[in-house]
Amino acid sequence: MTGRLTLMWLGLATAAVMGLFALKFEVHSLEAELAALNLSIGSDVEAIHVLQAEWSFLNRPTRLQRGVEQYLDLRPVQANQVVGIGQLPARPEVVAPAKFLRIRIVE
Amino acid sequence: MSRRLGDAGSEPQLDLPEPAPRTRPGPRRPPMLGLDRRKPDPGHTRLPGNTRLMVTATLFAAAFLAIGARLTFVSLVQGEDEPRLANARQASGTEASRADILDRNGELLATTIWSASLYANPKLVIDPADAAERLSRVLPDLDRDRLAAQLAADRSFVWIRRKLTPRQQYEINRLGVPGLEFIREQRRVYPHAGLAAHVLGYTNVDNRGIAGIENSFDDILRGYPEPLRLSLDIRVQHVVHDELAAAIADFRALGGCAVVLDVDSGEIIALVSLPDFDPNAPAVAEARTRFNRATLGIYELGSIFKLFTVAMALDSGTVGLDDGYDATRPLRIARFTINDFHGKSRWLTVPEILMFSSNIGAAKMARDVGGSLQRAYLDRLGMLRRASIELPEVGAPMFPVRWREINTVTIGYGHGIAVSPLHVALAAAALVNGGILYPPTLLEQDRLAVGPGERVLKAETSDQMRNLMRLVVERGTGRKARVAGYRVGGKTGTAEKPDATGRYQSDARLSSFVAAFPIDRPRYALIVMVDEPKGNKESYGYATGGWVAAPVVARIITRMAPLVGILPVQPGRPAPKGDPLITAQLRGG
Repeated sequence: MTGRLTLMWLGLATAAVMGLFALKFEVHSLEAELAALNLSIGSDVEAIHVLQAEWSFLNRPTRLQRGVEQYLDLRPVQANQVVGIGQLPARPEVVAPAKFLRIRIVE
Repeated sequence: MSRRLGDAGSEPQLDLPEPAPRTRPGPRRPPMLGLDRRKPDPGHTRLPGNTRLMVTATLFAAAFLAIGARLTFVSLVQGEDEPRLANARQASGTEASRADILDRNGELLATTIWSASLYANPKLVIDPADAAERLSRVLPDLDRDRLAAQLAADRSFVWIRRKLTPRQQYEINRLGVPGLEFIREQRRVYPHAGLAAHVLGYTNVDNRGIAGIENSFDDILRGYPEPLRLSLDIRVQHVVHDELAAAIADFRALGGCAVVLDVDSGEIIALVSLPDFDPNAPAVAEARTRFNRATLGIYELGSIFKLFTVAMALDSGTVGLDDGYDATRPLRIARFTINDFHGKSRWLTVPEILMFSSNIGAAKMARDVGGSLQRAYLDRLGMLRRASIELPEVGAPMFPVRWREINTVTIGYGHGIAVSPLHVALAAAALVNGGILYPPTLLEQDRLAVGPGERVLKAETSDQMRNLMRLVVERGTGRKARVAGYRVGGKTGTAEKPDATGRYQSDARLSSFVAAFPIDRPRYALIVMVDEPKGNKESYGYATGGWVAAPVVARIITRMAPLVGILPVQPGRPAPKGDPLITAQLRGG
């Protein structure tokens, strides 16, 4: 009886120790994963920063103007091309054709 | 039942061994914790140390129970002071220690990126000549022999090239030369190159700002993680830069400058000074390209000042719009003769003096205003002190120490006082916005949080000045500044530049034009100044403000108005009031 109980406690202790070590290793591996993720986040953030600078560089008005002049057939907007909504002509009334047409089905 | 040994001879006895005396806990015995009750002890004697063992064991059990309970609580139940979500902290070493600079629309004007700087440890370099030869293949502008000598020296550190591009770093790494090391350094990069060079300024090798905004906000840029938003609009800046550069090339001028500002807040929308430089490489820039003509340059701007003369004359009640002056004969004061350029030689009303830019009329008007009043008005308009713009490169105006009558008269048409073009733009904004002078600023202002400004003119005077400026463009010297659909008002200025001895040269002038639009309720004021334009065939040899600067203003307004959301007015139609045009604001990035 005593032996069995002692064995049970020993077994429990061993299980606890195994569990503890398993947890510890898992935590370590998670921490390592976290550190790796943080590092890759850092390098991604840096890459994004460089790309933003590059985007701004490629979008600078001088370059866009050169591109427009070379490839597109656009011209500066003239004053007579800009109107307000109130100056647009009114939408014509669409008259339903059924008002004037009578379709008679002759059998 | 114990059997007494002494009972001999009473009855036949079995020779059984004597049973051991039994010890059984009696009811009066003190309880021995719990152990004895659970496990009746078959025969062990209780030692006094057993109690201590029990106590210690119980304490340990309690301690482990406590740890177990705490563990359960900590892992299962959320504590109050724990963050709900893990902060995404950036790994250390990737945060730039200098803030970005953005324009008012969020476009990136200046940023810091990490770049590699190459240094060598000559003690570890095996073959200096070979290393130098291989390096010069990747960095062609390195002096091969000097580099070989440096790599053969008996030192442990020598810079080879700082702030390389990623491609250069990759190539050098691929060479596989021992003794070369990279160190990460931060590098300030300006994606728009020279477009806002004078405003942004530049930094030195240690990333400290030494010119422009980089300098005046150096501590804020170094302390703040948030970017700095300027009032500049890079699209308008480009338009101004483009048109000004075209005009300077067209008229073979030395240079020029232009300022566009918001009349209701003092925000600088564009500030261009040509020739300019690339702030990505400030060391190779010549000194004259780094000179900010718009803020640091102090010039006698000439006829533009007639605007202020008329304004102060109207505001002080010296003249009314119906009054006029006799401009038939040149004005003689002391030794000087004041004459008109292409003068009308007749009586001119006050509007006509401004329309035809009459020196005689302005001089007489200034004389009527008087020196002390003129000085007071100019002071209120900010012409006698440095502009309070947030740049280190600001010039102090020059004006006479003793304000004699001759000074008053010449200042009336813009000679004898020297200010920067920014001063003129600010004062013109005060003229047209109802008479309130706002301090200039390069930072984006919250519309609702603009300060009260300083009232310098009456609102009626401002109204009159707006009409007069419109007349100058409609019928006066500023006709080339007309833009179909946008009501532009302004004033030309042509000033002869004095040479080294102080004599005015007839062939070197400063041609400028100050304008505001839409003139009935102005939103923006701008000034364009061209330094020493030379007349060309299209201008019939003329290089005055009306021929050189006014067309630039017209082209700038044509291109700029749609960008800032100002509707053109169809000719013949009234201005649409409260008639919104749906404009798509295209934001970059």
